[in-house]
Amino acid sequence: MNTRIAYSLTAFVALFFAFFFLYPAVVVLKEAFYSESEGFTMAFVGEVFKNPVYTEGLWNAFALGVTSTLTALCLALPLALVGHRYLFPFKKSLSALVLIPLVLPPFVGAVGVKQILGIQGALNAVLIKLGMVDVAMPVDWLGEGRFWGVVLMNALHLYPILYMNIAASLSNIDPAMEQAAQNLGCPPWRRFLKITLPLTTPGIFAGGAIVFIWSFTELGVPLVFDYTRVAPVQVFDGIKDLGSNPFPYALVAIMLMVSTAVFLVSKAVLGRSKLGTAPRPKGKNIEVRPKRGKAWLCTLLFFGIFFIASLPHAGVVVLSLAHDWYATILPEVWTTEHYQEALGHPLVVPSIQNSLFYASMATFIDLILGVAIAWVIVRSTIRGRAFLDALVMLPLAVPGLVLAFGYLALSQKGEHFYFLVQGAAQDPTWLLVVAYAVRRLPYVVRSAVAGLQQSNIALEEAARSLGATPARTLRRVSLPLLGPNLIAGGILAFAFAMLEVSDSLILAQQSEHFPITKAIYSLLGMLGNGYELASALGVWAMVFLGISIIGAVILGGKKGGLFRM
Amino acid sequence: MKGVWKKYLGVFLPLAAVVAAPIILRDDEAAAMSRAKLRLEVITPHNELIRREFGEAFSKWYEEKHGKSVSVNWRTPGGTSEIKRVLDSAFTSAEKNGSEGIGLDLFFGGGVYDFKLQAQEDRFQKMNLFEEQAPLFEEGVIPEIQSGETYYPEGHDWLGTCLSSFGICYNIDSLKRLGLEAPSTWDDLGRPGFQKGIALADPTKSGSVAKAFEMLVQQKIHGHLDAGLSVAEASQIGWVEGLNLIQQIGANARYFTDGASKVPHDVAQGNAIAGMCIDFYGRSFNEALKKADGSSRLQFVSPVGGTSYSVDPIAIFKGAPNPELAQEFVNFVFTKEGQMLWNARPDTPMGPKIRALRRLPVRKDLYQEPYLSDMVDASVMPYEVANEFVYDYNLTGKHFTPLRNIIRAMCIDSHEEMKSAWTALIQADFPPEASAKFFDVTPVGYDLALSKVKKTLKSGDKVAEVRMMNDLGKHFRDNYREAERLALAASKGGAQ
Repeated sequence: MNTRIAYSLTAFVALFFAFFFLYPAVVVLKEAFYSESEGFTMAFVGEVFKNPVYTEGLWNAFALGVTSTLTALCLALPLALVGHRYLFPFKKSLSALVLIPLVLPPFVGAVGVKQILGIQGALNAVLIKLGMVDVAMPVDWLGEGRFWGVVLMNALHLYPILYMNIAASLSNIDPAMEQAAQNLGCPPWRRFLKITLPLTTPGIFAGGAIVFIWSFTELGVPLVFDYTRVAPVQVFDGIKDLGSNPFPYALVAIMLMVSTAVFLVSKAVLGRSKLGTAPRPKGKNIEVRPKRGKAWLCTLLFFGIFFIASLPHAGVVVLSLAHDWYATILPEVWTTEHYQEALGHPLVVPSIQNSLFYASMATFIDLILGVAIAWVIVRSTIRGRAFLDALVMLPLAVPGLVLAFGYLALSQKGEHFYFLVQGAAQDPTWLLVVAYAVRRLPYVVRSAVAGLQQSNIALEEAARSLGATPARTLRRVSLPLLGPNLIAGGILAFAFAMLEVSDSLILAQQSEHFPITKAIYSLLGMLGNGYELASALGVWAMVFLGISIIGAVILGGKKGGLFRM
Repeated sequence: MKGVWKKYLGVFLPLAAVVAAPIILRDDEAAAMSRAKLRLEVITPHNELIRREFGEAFSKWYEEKHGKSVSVNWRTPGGTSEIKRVLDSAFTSAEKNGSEGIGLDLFFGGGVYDFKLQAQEDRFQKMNLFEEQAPLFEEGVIPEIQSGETYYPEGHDWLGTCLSSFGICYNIDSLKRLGLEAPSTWDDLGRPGFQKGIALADPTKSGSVAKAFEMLVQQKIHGHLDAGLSVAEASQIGWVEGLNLIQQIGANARYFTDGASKVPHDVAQGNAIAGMCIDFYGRSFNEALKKADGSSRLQFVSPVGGTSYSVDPIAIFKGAPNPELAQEFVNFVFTKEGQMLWNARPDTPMGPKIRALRRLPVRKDLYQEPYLSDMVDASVMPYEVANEFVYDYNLTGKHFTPLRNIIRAMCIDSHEEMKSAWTALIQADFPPEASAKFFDVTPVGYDLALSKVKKTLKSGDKVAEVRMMNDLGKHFRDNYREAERLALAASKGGAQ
């Protein structure tokens, strides 16, 4: 790769990132290192380590991150492998359905989970009916579950990130390599361990890094389980404290460092494919049709995971149709009134338009920046590219609220982001687009990096030696090869932008600028039937996002091997 | 080609149907209002229902009075703590730029504490209503102080619009299941039977919640004053008893939440047995869960003699972009129509469009016929109930900020250790030595709370503040661990 282009791209991306991510983050995080009496100080960070409550919180968050990632991997890897290798009944529909966790707004999911796992929830009602639990002593799943409850919820919510990345990696493996091993008499397990798994590590790393950082910094799920001694909840509590408390910012600074360290270490171990850049698949992956019983086992695996992962969704759907759902397996009286009230609410139509605009623009920016960054990271040899790689992962580790407060402070009149909020109307559209784009960039970068690592550089070199310009090489050779990875990254970026909460809550203050998540959040605060109304709009969002994702896969995925529909 | 079209249709037709649903169901009247030319900018923590009802009612009232259409642009960054951040950020930059205002007209809703903070910063302008409608104030229709609570300050820069108090909501099914009696006082929430069953709001994130805890402590002090102790003695003893009660309730608590509606919702769903919640939340959930026979599984009570009625104020910002419109909004809120909106039934002439807001108007003259019969909560009569408890600033007012921080160290930061110790104490039937350790609040006694805690908090030295909070947290965690150890030892000894 031309070093000059690499440097210019790096400079551009670094500037964009420094201005729109580091700057607002520093504006807020400086409180962690500044005291009026001492000026610059490390006292707050020091106090975090001296306070056992905070060290325990950090340790718990770390343990949650590692365990959730491993659990998600245990779900995603078999799914991706089975999906890659075998043909089985309902494969097409099930391959799309296992992505279902991507369509659920996080706090709406929490509402669904509580309906099921609550003391008077559906699960206890089922167990009481089966005679397994005493009606006078129902199990307090949420109160007693805690750590493992959070791990399970994280894994069930996040495994699609790993699944999509691993599936993309698998689709890039040349089947000839596995066939060669097979011809030489290599047994299936050995083949898996020696050929398939090493070739898939870029995908595992790409997804695993995101899942780890996500669950390490996850706030919503621990809050549902009232698990408060965990760093992200401590940060959230501290930020909302009425007195201005510097602790949360010191904690965020430490979490950032931990995230970066884990990212760099795991990248050194897993990030590069052990076999270097593998050749681009020459042949089409041949899917095997197993014997009938085995084929149905594959179906059962997919269906089982889909079923468990969709329980929160089912909870939300049932609640949206319930008159009052309490202490019974299903509601006794059903109604569609909540849909009429929720969808008819004046907030809803503009919020849909807003969300679509914010999320599409953010995804568009992410795709352009993501490919550029990935290209520099994988194809260039310039110094500091590993640093750039770690840098673009940081938005995942900074809590949304911290960044949102940074944007808020900088978008006031006379500040540097004021140009993003237009005029007296204080329209935060572009502020939100940039905020969404920055926070979703890691998904696209990881996918694109994994794709580029696996695609053969010789093809690009051939194009260049035949006289193609770098831009033409990118357009005609690299991008088509990256197709499945970019679709995966793009879908994740779009879906998570549509479901964004913290930036939206703080920055979209006027109802005309609300995205759909804030409209749902507003309905949640309605008295008496707020949860039912929020569920109804949540169901709408799920259906919309579900059709959009499946549509993107059907219409855009035809070139890639990722989702053959 | 046909196949491709089929694919496109297969995706876009369902997508179009999904997008069309909210467009078809849209409330046109409300949507039309948002297109009005005159726009009032209001920042508020009020819920969506209150925003919608007040927005639409004001637009209608204004159009009838002035023949012009107007809309309210609600700014809702979240609860009061987010609003504080937004206002601080905006005023800091306005100051830097030399502009007086921040593009906002009004601050509507929240607690007195939030308005006092803003008023201290001199961010509000005087409201004309005090002069134009002087009889309202001179005749006590809106009292300046009621049972010790301020409803508007001398400077006339904010004014309470509706009344609110904290109370107890409980689930009668859960009580029955556990064989517990219905709670009616704050003390009841500290009973061991409620272990793991109390839902609490977090006093460090809301001034109103912190105020409710202050009431609880003050009630204890009042008890000793009534028994004839001197103010100094009653304050010392009552303060410790109040803190001990907060410890008991905290030890029973499942969580301390910042979500106003989470408490009554969890109680309604049976996830918690009882909780501390704002009156109108309790009443709304009670109503929403009413069965055909009039019974409801969620009940709300005001703790006997343990709460006073505070107000949710309104104020106009300095440099408001639409000062006249803002004054008109304030005028509307204090008309009989505006006030009745807080509590009238939807089917009455001054009632809301969608459903009752279940809040109590601040105007005293509405608590009589013919208005009372249009109110949903006609039986509450807040001005009569309010006299049962008179808030005395001199007793605990200065302890307000320290108390909030003490609760953080004593209950929130040390919740895990506290709950474990509490379980051990209950199992061992409260052995005296272990109980004494658990309830030891010596470093945060009545005097120390001011001389040490408040002094450090006020010093502005964040490092010192952080260290003090760490030390306090450590004291309580060590005590709870020790109390647990002693209780376990006692129960083992008892068993032998």
